[in-house]
Amino acid sequence: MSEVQHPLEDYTRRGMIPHIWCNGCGDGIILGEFLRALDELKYDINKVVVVSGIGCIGRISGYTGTDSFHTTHGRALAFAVGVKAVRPDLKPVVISGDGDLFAIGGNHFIHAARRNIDVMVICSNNFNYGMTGGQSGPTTPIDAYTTTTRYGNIEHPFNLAHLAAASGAIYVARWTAIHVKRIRESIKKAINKKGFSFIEVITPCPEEYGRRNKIPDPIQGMKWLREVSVVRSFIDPIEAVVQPDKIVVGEFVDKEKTEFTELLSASTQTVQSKLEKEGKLTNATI
Amino acid sequence: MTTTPTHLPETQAGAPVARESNLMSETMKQPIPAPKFAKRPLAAPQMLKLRYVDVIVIEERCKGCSFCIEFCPKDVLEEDTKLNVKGAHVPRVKDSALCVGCGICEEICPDFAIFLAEKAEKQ
Amino acid sequence: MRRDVLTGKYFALGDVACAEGALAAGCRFFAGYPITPATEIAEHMSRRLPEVGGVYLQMEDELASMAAVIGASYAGVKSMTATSGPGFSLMQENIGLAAMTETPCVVVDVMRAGPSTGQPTKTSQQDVMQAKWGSHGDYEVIALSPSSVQEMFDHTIEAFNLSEMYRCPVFVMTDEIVGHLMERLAVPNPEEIHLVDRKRPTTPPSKYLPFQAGEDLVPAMATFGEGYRFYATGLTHDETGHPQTDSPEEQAKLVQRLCDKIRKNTGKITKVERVFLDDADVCIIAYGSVARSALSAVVEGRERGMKIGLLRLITLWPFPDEVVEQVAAHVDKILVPEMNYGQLVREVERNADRKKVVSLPRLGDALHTPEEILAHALS
Repeated sequence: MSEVQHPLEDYTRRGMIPHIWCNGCGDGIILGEFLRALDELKYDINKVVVVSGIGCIGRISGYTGTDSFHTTHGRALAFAVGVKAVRPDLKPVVISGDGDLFAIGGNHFIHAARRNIDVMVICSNNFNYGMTGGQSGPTTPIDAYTTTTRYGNIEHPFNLAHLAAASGAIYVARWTAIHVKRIRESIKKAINKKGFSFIEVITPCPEEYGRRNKIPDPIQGMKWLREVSVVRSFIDPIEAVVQPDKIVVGEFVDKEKTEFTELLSASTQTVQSKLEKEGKLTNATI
Repeated sequence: MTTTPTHLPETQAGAPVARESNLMSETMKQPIPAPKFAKRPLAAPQMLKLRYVDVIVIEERCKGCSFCIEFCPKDVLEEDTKLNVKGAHVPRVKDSALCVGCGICEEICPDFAIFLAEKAEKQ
Repeated sequence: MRRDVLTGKYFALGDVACAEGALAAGCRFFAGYPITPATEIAEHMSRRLPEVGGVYLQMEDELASMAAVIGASYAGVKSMTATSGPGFSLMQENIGLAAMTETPCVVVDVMRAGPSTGQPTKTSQQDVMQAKWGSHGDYEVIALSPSSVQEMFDHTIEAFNLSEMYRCPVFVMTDEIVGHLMERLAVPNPEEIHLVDRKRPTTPPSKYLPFQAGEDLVPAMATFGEGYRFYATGLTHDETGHPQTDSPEEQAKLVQRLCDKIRKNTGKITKVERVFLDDADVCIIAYGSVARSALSAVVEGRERGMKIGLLRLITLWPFPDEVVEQVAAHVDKILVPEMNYGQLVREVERNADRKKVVSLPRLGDALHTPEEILAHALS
């Protein structure tokens, strides 16, 4: 039995599987689909830099057999921007959680999207802060129970697909943990696009969010996602709602826009050729 | 006849009609229609060949979530009676003839604990 | 002639000299956010980096700036940022990350009056303790203190060299006076500039352990995209880079190595300047622009026949304990003028008889005058 190894074994970091995620957590599905997508594309694994933030999904950078970096809370995108700006040949992939990307990291997200920098972002959205015990976050639905909303959440949540599209992302998709093959296809599409792409994957969190909101069992969590999700690709992202009784999934944005490093290199080229033409060493005064 | 302020639209009958925002309220009330010109959906059926595969379980990795058992479209798997080292009931194949090699079990497992391997010779 | 080292003599601004020093050191990435009085560094870098094939990024805030600097450094490029007090506070979180992941990087802090927004256009030396203790946890950094425009150039190059050698964040703690001063600057020939690059791995990827260090306690640093596929994290980790969040031994081992690599090399790292100290009875310990006034005071004092000397601190951290202790043993009085309410004087007190040490604080945009320093030295 042990001569045949799991087909993705070589893509994982040796000795790190089994991972720390709970029974029924969708993060393992995201990891599997990401590695499967790389495998199917035969993507140059040495060019991928997986950057993650703090949270359960933040541990993913330790499980992928790629150059990986585990940053401080919320700063994964800023780090990835630095990597891409100096090494346009690399492809940073930021895989992080809803709180890491949109609460503490919200500012970095909208600016990276605005710049249209060639980074792929996968957001594991489980509606709470799982790693620290299940506190509310920017995507927690109204009336939901978390450890810091004991009387029901009173804050409106973000519509992440809408936020990403409005900030300038050129590829925006939302799937849930149950849509395995479609997550993989979206990743394959997005990783080959030159620009800022965003894939939201809604996952169950049985131990924390699920337990407090009537879906404590892993199977219940997945069945709930299957029941309430409806595929409506390419509708206006503002209408792609996420509610406890309806989750609109699909691809919402798929366009092209000049990417940041292209503009950067064009600008640098112009500066340097002008200097050469004028026979100067610098335009600046010292 | 009341005088109509000029900035409000008039109805046929001449009485003013208060302007309603039609941005979100109307669209949110109606069911979302399927778009007419949607691009080709993702994962459009690639012709899934009938694969002759074995289902292999890495028992010590299984956490007993039962996703593979629940979401197998052909109902090939069931819970084994024995427990693994984690205290979970691992899946086992009920009837291998039912398996079409779709790979859902392998993809839906969050723990890299179940996968398909090509059979040595075709049945 | 090369575009990155503009050999020649100039009459330059301190901030500009710092930027030119960075370019001469090989810096090809700057991520920053405008803040008085360090904005000129960002502006000059934005003009010069495209000319030398580097990248200038104006990030959305200082937290992003520091994170981008770490990212670019791990992608193989010498990187820096420049800020002042309020931005320095924001950067502390990722300075901790840089220390933990042993990222070579340079942070320039052009100090201004604080706390908080303070007086943005007025000088101070109020951040010197923050350079050492700003982020949480135990870690060691290196901090340099330029006193002139020429030193802004030279010390920035030195900062890059130290950061590459010891794989830690290095701070150039200058103040608004030096930052906004215009003085003579001499940029040497490229051959005369000594540069240090980080240690690269000599083992193949399959055998490479990202945080395994030899005698010098500094591990070799791989770069993204070269097939090493290594993992670095801000969590406590072992030599393989994998998180070790349960083991007390790993925590002790890692934190001790991070600190010892600087502490055990203090003698090699620290630099001071001694002026008239051999037979001095009174010693003035100063740094930054205050050292210029102190130098005047000492020269004046010697002319009057006083036995007064100056110990100018070029390296603020690690604090040159042994040097100060040795000097303190031979003098009767130590005067520490600072443009803050008494910060580095505590380090001096730690290494000397407290009764000998006199603090001379100055708040508000007022450089100590030589007369003032001399008067306090005499009394």
